[in-house]
Amino acid sequence: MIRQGEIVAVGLNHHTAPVEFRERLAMDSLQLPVHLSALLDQGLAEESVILSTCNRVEVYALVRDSDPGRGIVSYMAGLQGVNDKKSRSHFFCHEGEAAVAHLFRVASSLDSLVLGEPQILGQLKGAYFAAQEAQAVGLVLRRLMRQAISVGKRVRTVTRIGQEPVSVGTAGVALARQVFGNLDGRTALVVGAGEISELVSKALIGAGVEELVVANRTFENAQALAARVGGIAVPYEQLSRYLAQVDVAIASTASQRPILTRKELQPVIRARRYKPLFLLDLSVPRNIAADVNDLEGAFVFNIDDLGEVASRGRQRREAEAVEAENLVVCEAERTYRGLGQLSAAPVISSMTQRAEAVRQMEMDRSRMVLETLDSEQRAAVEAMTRSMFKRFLHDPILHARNLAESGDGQSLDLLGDAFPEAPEE
Amino acid sequence: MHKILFILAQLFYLIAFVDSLLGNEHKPSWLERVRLPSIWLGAGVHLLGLVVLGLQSQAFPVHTPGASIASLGLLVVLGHLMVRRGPRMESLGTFFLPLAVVLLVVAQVLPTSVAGTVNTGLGMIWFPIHASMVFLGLMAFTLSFGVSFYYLVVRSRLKRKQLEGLERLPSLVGLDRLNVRLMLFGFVSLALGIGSGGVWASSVKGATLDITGWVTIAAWIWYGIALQFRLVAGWRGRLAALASVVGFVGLVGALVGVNVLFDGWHA
Repeated sequence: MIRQGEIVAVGLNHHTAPVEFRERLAMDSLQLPVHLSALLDQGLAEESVILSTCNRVEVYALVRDSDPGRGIVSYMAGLQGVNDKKSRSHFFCHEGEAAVAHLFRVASSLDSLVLGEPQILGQLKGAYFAAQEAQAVGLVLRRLMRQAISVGKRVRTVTRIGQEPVSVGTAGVALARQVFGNLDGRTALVVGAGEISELVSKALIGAGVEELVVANRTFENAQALAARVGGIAVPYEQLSRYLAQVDVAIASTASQRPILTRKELQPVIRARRYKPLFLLDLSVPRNIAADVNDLEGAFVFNIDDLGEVASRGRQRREAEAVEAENLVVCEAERTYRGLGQLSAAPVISSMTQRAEAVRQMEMDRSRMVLETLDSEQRAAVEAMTRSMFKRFLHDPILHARNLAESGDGQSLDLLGDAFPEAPEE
Repeated sequence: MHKILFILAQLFYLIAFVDSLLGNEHKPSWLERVRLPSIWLGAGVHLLGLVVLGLQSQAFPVHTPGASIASLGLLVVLGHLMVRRGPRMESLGTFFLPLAVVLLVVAQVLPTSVAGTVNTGLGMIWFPIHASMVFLGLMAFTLSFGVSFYYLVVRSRLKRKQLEGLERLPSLVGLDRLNVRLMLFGFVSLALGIGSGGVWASSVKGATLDITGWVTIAAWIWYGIALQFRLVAGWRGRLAALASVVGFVGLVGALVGVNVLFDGWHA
């Protein structure tokens, strides 16, 4: 328990609620300030941040309620329009250090649907900035959110949780990198205009592929995909011409027989002067004949190969998550302790202010004597008195911090009362 | 003294090699920082050993088979330190570091000091130039051999879809690019070495081109042809790697054969 109240994490996510519940609560950027203000105005929270993504709607708040988080659950359940026992059962509520650990897990993407995905950290930053703009964060949540963002970054730096490929798109990029190293400035050809082609195309462009051309038997479909991924549509009849030029070729059509055979590709490979050609066959039945892989310079991978890479990536991320979890638990404990000490800040501040006021008063009283001293001597007296008060206050300050950390608000108040703001004459 | 230093250098190389084998995963962070200092320490001690050997023999440390191989070992390690800076190229250490250890073992088995008289030409200005250029060329071809070996391994694994652990190895294009640079560097260095060797030999009374010299020229021509084919006919990737492997194996085989059969050192 921290003196200003208690930190809670309340909400629902993909672990606790099905999508039909989550979608009812989803908030856009315009709704966020409204709900943040409502939580504060209705006295449900002292400070709050709302994180709303497609997988979660969660409120991180500092509350004074004797049953922390209950009011926020009722408020959120009310937003769904159904505030019954069943709908409330989808909500979770963590308090204290558990709430801090949950937030850190979210920031580190340990709680994400796809372990290690990078978007959540940006979304958390967005939620924090929105709360700042709505003036819904104070001393406690400001420190907590900054720490959460820092832990999220650290987990990604220290572990490889975000680096292993886990989707078809990133697995394709990982394999292409094994051939080319860096994909910056490379060119790619996509044959077929399906959904999976789009996914891999976007991943390739994201990885640095400079130019992407799309060919499809129906030219309009090629144009549509090219427009979506920022590529160029080319006539299907010119396939061989582009195959001779590009570094990566993706085949994903509904054809029942191979559209790229060894016989067709042999002259293409020769025309390329054996420069590596990375071929991704994403279709079933396969669009690229298996023996194309035997050609010098041709490297063919199919959907099963990508699946294997993605599956291995997922396993590795899970292994990395163990290390990340340890880091998160340590950081949560340390941060929660630090937040507890924050409540000592007003007491410490009044102690030092009071001491300075007394010192200043005594210096003024001795002004006549001090004026007889030269500037060097006066500076020495100033330094000496400051040092005396600093040493005198060292133990009380330490005691105040310990009281705050242990959550003993009553003793902390008593200690604070011993240092009234205005010194007596 | 130099033998103790060579053994110490081997120890450092072995530490770095074992560290490379373990990879960076599931290892304490302090252990990740051991590899590079170990290589540098090994190279420093190795160099010191060569200096001691040179001072003992009063000659440039290529005057005997043992000294030459020890010098080549150091150049291979220094070359590795240069190429390992590329993306994922540090894994090449698993090839070059044990190679350096083997070269030092061979160097210690072979004679490192001259029983008879040292060729009077050794002190001349052209000899250090000739020796340096030839050894730089040999270093480049040795590195090219290692890089080619890696290229063939990575290519074979990609073709056979053995993808596990491949992400720790360099990319194919990266290896191919490095290989051609090394072959080109070796070709130019060896050309300068052969040229300066000719000038040096012409100044030494009665010097003729021995079998080792002919083998070196043949290797130079082989690498020249491989580079030419790459430029003209697009012999890249596997073909360039095979050319390098064949060239290097042929060169080493011929040099060993010549020195065993003819019982004499090129000087």
